[in-house]
Amino acid sequence: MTSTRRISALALLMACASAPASAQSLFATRGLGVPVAPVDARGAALGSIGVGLLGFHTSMVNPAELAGLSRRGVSAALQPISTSVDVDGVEDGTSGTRFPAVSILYPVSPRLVLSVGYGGYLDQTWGVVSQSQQVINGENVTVNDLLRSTGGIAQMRVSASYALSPTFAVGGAAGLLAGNVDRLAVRTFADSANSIQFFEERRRWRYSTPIGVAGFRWDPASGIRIGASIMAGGELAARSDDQGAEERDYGSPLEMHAGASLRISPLLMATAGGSMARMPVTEGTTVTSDVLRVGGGLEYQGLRSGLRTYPVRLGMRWSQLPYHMDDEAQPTELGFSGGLGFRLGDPMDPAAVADFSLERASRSGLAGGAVSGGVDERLWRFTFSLSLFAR
Amino acid sequence: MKRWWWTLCAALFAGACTQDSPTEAGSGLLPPDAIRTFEFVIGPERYLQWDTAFGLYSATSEADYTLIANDYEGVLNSRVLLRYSIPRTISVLDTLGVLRTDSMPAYFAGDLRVLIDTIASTAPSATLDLYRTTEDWDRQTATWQLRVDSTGVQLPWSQPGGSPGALIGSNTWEEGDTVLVAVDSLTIADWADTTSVTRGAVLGSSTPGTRLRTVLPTLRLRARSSLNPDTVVEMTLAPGRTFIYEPEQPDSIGVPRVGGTPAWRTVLRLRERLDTLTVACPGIPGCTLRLGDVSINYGALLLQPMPSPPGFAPELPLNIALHALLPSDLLPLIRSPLTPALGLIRGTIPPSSFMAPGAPIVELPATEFVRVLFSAPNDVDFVPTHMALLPAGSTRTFGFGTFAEMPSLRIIVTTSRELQLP
Repeated sequence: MTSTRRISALALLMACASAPASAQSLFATRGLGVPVAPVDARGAALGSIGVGLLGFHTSMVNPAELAGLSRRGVSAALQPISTSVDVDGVEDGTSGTRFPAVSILYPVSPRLVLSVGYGGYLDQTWGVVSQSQQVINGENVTVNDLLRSTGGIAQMRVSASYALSPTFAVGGAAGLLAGNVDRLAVRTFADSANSIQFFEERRRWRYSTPIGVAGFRWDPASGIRIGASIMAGGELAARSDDQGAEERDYGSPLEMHAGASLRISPLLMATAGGSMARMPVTEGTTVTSDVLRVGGGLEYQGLRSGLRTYPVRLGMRWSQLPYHMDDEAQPTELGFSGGLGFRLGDPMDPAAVADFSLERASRSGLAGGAVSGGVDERLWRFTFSLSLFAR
Repeated sequence: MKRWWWTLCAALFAGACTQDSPTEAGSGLLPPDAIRTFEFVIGPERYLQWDTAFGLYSATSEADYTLIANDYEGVLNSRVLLRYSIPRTISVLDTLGVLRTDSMPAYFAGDLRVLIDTIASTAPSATLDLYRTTEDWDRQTATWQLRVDSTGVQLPWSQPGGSPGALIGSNTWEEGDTVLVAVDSLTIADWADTTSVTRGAVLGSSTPGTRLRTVLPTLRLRARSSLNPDTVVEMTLAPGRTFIYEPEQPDSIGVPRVGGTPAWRTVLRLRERLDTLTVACPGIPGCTLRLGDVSINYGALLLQPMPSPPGFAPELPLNIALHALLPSDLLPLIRSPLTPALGLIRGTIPPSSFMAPGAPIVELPATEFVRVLFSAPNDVDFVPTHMALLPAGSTRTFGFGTFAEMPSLRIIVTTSRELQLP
C-alpha cells in the first residue's frame, strides 16, 4: 500500500469518525459539558497540555508547534473511555469513545506548515435513567424516565505555523467552535391496561462562534523548548429550529496555554505546562468558573530495538471542570498516565508514528447540591493516535 | 505497513461509533420533576358545543335476531312478522331409485322452531302464540302502527301490532332454549298460495312481562311425495321477517344514545382551536399548560351511563366506538361520512349499567384522536369538528345505551423541563 493510499484510507476512517463520538460523564449534566483537550496520545501520556513539547506531536493547542514538519500527512487520535460512577453510594458504569484531535498536515515550504484540523472542546454527552411511582387515574403506575444529551462542541481550525528561525516559530489559526447537541426525554408508563402512551421529546441545538488562535514556540537553547498560545472567540450562540427550544447566547471563550520541555539527558526529557481558561459563560443557577489545568511528565527513550526507539512516557495532570450549580462544589480531575510510542518504517524517516496512552483518572465534585455527597467518577482513558506521512 | 495495523485501526474507529448506555446512578443530579406528568378532567363546556343523538340507522328487518315482548317493564310490546316461501316442488327418489322432481308434494305437518337467546331474554316461562296475518305488510317498513310506511304511502294496521288473525298454535318455553310451535297442513297450504296477500304469521307472547330475543325462527316442513308415497321429505325454511314494537322512539333526541335497532348514534360538536385551551397544573400554583404545546399520553371520553327508557335497556353487553364525523355542505349531518373507529371502550358495558342510576363511568380511550383534536391546524392534515359515538362489534342489540349529556374528557399529559439548555 503506497503512502498516498494509506493517507487516503486514514482520511476515510476520519470521515466515518466525524459521526458523533463521545463519552458520557455525569459532570456533563452541568453547563455546557466537560472540557476535552485536543491533544494526541503522546501529549496525553506526558500529562501535557499540548504546548512546548519537544519532538513531534499533533496536539492542536498551539499552532506554532507544527513548524519544521517536512512531510505532508494526516493524524487522528481516538480515545475510548471506561468510567465507573458513584453518586451517593449508587454505582454504575459507562463507556464511550471520543476523537480528541484529527488533522491534515501540509508543509508548504521548509518554513511554512499548514494544517486543517478538528479537535475536542466540550463534551455534552450524558444519559440518566430512573424509575418512580405516580398515581394516575387512581392507579399506582411505575414510570420509567430517560434523559439523554448527545453531542458537544468541537473546534475546527485552519492553522499555519511559520519558522522565523530554526529556534523560533510563530503560528496562527482561525476557525469555529461548532457542534450540536441533541437532548432527549422519554417517559414510559407501566400501567395495567397498557393504554398510556409513552412520552418522547427531542430537541437539537447548533453551536457556533468564530475563534482565533496565536502562539509561538521558542528553543532558547539546545534541549529546551518553550511554547505558549492564546485562543479567543466570539460569543457562543446556541440556535435551534425545534419548536419550544429556547435559544441561548453564552460568553466568549478565552484560553491561555504555556508549557516547556527540558531534555535532561540524551535519553530523558521532562515537560510541564499549565493553562487558564474561561469557558463560555452560562446564566441562571449554573456557575461558570475559570479553569486551571496543570500537568507534566517524563519521556524515556532508552528502550530500543536495533535502530528503533520506543519512547516510554509517564505523566500526571490535574484540572478543574468549569460548570457546576451555585450550591455545588467545583469539580476537579486528577489523572496519572503512561504510554509508549512507535515509529513504523524507516526509524529515521518514519512512514507512520503511532502512540498509545493509558490514563487512570478520577473526577470528583458537585458536592453540597442536589447530591450532598457529590459525584465520583473513576475512569480508564486509552488514547491511540496515528500519523501517516507521504513520501 | 503490516496488515494487522490497518485491522486494528479499523476496529478502533468502528468501535467508536457505538452509543453509550445511560446510567442509573445520576438521577439525583437532575430535578425530580425533570419530566412531569399531569392528569386533567376537562369539562364538556370547555371542548364541546353540543351533542345530539340520531336513531334512524338500520331497520328491524335487517337485524339478525327477532324480539318478542309482552308488556315488558310495563311498556314494551314486540311481535315478529313472518312469511315463508313454501317450495312448489320437491326432489325425491322414485320407486326405481331415480331422482325426480315432484311438483305435487303434500305438506302434512310443520312446526316453527324458535331458538331463544337465554342470556338476552327474561327467564322462563313464557307462552308463544303464532297467529295468521290478516293483512298484507311490507317487510322493510312495517311498524307497530303501520303495515306499510314507505315514502308517500302509509297504511295502518286495522289492529296495531300486526293485526293477528286466527291462532295457528301455541307453546310454552319452560326450559332449554328451543320452543316448537306446531303448524297445521291447512296453514301451510295457505302460506303456499302466493296469490294470497294475507299469507304470513305473527309471533308474539301472551305472557306479560316477557322479553325474548330469538334467532330467526325457521319453519320445518314435512311433505309426502306424490311419486313415492312412502317417502317423507323434511325441509327447513328461513323466513322473510321483521319485528314490530311499541312504543316507537323519536328520530333524534338531545341525550346521548348508542346502539339499539334501529341503531342510535350520538354526534358531538367540538369547539374550535382546542390547541389554545389552557389548563392549570394540578398541585403547582401558577403553572398552566397550553394543551397544544404538550405531549398527550392518554385521552378518553368519560361516559356516564344513565337508565334507558323502560323496555329499551340493551339486552346484551354494549360496545362503543368513537369515530370522527366528516360533515359536508352537500349532506345533512345525519348522513355525514365517518372515519374508521378511532377509539373503543375496553371490554363492554353491562346491561345493568342502563337499568338503574349510579352506574360506574365508562372510559372510551382515543388517545391518537385526542392528540389531533388538540393540535394546531398547521401541524395536522385536518382537525375534526365533530365526533360520533356508534355501537361497535358485530352484535346488535334491540335496546340502546343512554348516557348523561356532554361527556367530560380525561387527558394525561407529560412535559419535560430538562429539554432546555442552561
